[in-house]
Amino acid sequence: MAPGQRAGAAAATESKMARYSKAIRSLLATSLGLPGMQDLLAKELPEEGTDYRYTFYDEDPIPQNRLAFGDPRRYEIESHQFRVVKNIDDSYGLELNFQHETMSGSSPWYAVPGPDGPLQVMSGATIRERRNQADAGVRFLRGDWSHRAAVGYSSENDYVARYGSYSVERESADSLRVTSWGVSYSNDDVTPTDAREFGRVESADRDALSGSLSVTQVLSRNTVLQGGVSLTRQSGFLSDPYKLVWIGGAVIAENRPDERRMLTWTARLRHFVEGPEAALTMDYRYFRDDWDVAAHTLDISWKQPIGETWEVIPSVRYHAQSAPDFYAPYFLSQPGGIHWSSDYRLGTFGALSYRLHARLKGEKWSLSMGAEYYDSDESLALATPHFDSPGLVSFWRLSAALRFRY
Amino acid sequence: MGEEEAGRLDRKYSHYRSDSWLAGFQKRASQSVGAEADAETAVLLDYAQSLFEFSNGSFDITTRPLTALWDAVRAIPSAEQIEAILSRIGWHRVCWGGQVLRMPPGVTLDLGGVIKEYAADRIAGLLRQAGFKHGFVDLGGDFHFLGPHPDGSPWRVGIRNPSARNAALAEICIGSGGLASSGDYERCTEIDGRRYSHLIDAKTGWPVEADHDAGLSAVSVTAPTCLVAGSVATIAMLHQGARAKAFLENSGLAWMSVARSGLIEGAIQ
Repeated sequence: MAPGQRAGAAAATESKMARYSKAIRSLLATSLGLPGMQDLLAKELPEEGTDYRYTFYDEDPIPQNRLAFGDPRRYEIESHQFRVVKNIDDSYGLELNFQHETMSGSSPWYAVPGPDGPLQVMSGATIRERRNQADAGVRFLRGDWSHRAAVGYSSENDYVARYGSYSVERESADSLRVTSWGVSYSNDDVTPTDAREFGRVESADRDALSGSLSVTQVLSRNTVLQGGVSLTRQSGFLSDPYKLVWIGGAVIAENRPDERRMLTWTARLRHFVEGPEAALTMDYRYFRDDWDVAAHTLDISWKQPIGETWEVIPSVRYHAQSAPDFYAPYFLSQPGGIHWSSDYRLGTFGALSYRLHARLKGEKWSLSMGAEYYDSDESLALATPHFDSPGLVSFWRLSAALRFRY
Repeated sequence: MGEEEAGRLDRKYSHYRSDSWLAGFQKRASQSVGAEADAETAVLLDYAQSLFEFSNGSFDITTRPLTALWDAVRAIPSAEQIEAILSRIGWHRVCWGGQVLRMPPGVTLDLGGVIKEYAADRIAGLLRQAGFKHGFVDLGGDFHFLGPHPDGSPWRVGIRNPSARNAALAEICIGSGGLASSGDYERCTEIDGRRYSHLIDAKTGWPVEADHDAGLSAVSVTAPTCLVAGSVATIAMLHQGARAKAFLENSGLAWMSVARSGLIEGAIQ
C-alpha cells in the first residue's frame, strides 16, 4: 500500500475516505454535484460471509470460606453462534444470526450473616438448560444514508424475549463524520420454573424502549473519535424471580422497582500507531440510572499485526459500579424502602478482565481464538462498598471463531 | 450507451469544435451580462476553480492560447510573446460566482484536462445504474473500474514503458475506482534537440521542466473517481520533482511515477 494508506485504513474503519487529505476530500465533494458522481462515491454494504463462533464460559466456584450452603459450582455455558451476511445487490444486504446455548450450574440465591461477613447461599445445581436465539436484519443504502432494521427472538424454558430495532446512519459530505440514530424495543416474558413450589411469580413480563445517538469523527489520518449517548426505559417485572433476600431471619423474594431509566455515555478513541503499525483502542462508558447505580467502564486494547497473516490483540477492561440503596447482601431488620435485592450484580464492586485474542488471516477466511479472565471484588470498586458481596463472580471465557468470505 | 455519453460530452465541451456548446457559452460569457451555466457546467467550473487553487495556479483552464503557442513554434517563443498571452488570460481574470460566468473577451475555456476523465466516470455510472457490477471503462488510458473480476480478483493494468513501447514498465492491481495517468512521452514538442512537455505551467507560461533524469515522464494515480485521479496526476506532473512526490504522498491516494531515468516510485496495489 502507498505510504499513509495502511495507516488511514486501520484507524478509520468507519470511513474509507478518511485516509485522503483534506484537499482531496474537498475535490471529491466539489465533484459530487456532477450527474452520477453521487452513486460512484456511495457507501458500500458490509462484506459478505459466514461466521461460526464457539464460546466456553466457566465461572469459578464460590470459595469455601464464603459459602453458607448449596452447590458451590457456578455456571458453565457453551454457546454456538452462526452468522450469515449476504448482499442482494448494491443497495440491500441481509444478515441472519443464530445462537444456541447450553447452561448448567448453580447460581447465587441469597446471602446470610456469617461470623466474618456475609455468606452466600447457592441454589442447587440446575439440569442442563438450553437457549435458542435467532435474529434477522436488513440493510439498505441510498447515497449517504444507510438504514438497518432487525428483529429477533430468544427462547429458553423460562424466558422468551422478542425485540426489534431500527437505526440509520449518515456520512457527512466530506466523509469525516458519521452520525447515527437508533431506536429499539424489546418485550420479554418470564415464566419461572417450579413457581408454585417456591412461591415464585408464575408469569410476568417486562419491556424496554431505547434510543441512541452516536457521532464518529475522523480527527486526523490516524485517529477516529466516537461519542454516543443512549437512553433506555425498562418497565414491568424487573426483579429476578429466582433471587431471594434474607431480612431479619425471614427469606423472601427480592423486589426491585418496576421501572428503570438508564442513561449511558460512551466515548471511543481509535488511534493508529505508525511505527508498529498497530491500532490502539480506548473505550470509556459511563452508566447512570434512576436506581442510583453509577458505573464506569474503561477498555483498552492494542491490535498488533504480525506479518501479513497474524494479528494479536491483548486488552484489559476495568469496570466499577456503585450499588443502589435497596441493595444489601442481607437486611438485619425491615429496610426503609419497599425495594430490596441481594443480587451481587447490583452491588458495589470493581472488576478487571484480561483478554488475549489472536487471529490468523487467509485470503477468504480467518480464524480467531481468544481467552479472557475476569475477576470482580469489592476492593476494586471506586466507591466505598458498605458491604461485602460474597456472590461476586470470576470466570474464564475461551472462544474460537471461523469466518469465511464469499 | 457509453458511446452516446462520450459523444454528448464531446459535442458539448470540445474546444476543437467551433460548433460545440462550449464555444457558444464562452462567447456569451465575454459579454457584459455574462453567461448562465447549466448544472453540469457549473459543477465543472467549480471543480476547475478548486484545481486552480489546489495547484497554486499552475492548473488553469484558460491557458489554451499558451498551449497553442508552444505547439506551433519551431523555436522557443520570446518572452514578449509569452507575456502578451499571459496578460490576456488567467483564471484570476475570470469572474465565476457559481452561476454566471463573465470573462474578458478573448479568454477561452479548455476543459480537455478534465472532460476525458469525467466521461470515464459518467459512463461507469451509467453502466452501474444499468446493473453492471464487474468490468471497467477505458477511455484512452483513463479508467474507471466498476468492480473486480466476478471471482473477486482485481484487474491488472500494465503501465507502458515510455522507451520500449510494447513493454510494460510496471503493473497495477485495482479492484474498483478511477485510474488516470498523466505523461508527456506521447505528446511533446521538440525544439533544438530538447523535448518540451505539452503541459504548460500557467504561472510561468513555460512547459514544465522535465527534460532531465529526475524529471517525471509519467504519473498514475488511483482515486474513487477518474476525475480526481486525473487531476492529481496532472498537477503532480506540473509540479515535477520532489514537490510532486510530496504532493502525491500528502494526498493519501495510491500513486506511481516514472522518471526520465527510468526510476519507478510509488505503488498501486
